[in-house]
Amino acid sequence: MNNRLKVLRAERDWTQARLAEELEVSRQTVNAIETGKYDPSLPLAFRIAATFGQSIEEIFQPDGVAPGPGRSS
Amino acid sequence: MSEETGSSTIAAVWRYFATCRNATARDRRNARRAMWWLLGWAVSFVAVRLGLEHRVLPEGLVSDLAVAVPIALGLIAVLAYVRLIRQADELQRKIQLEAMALGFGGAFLGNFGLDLLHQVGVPVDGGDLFLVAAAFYIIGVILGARRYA
Repeated sequence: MNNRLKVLRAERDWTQARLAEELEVSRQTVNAIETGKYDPSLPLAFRIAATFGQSIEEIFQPDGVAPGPGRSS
Repeated sequence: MSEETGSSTIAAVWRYFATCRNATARDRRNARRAMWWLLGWAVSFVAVRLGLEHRVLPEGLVSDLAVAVPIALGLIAVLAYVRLIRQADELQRKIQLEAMALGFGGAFLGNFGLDLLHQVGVPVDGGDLFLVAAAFYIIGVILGARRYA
């Protein structure tokens, strides 16, 4: 699964530790998600989406689909 | 053998959760709690075992009650570990699950392996099975931590 987590984090100038604190997970989890080694659970995906004020689809995309803004109007 | 193995296993888990700078505050707190209960179990286990071995504890109700102490502390330690896993950061939970699968598999294979070794004259006993399981589990934790690093 692709995601824009690193980009969104960079836009806010947040460190992985800061984002981990916001999401109440370990920094290792944030790093593993960013590098695509780990796909978050649905509750965590919702927390990530809420943290960045975007929908899950705007942040996460299945493999083979370029991540970007959601397709819904 | 088994108490050393149990202690080393939980010590490894504690070290992983409690001293890892990446661990969440809740994981560190739960790991410390589990470790203290396990330490209580280990100390009481050794004390009661020595007490029974050297007949320091009088037979009857006193020794029966003494035996119940490490069992109770052990159960609390297990529950503390369950709580640690249940509340752990979700990636840590995944790592622990994979490590436990490896530990269980190691115990399963070790059971037959040790039996064969015993039959060819290698001096092994049942307690070594815990060592095999703990070794597989610890390797699983290390591999998981590296895989998702």
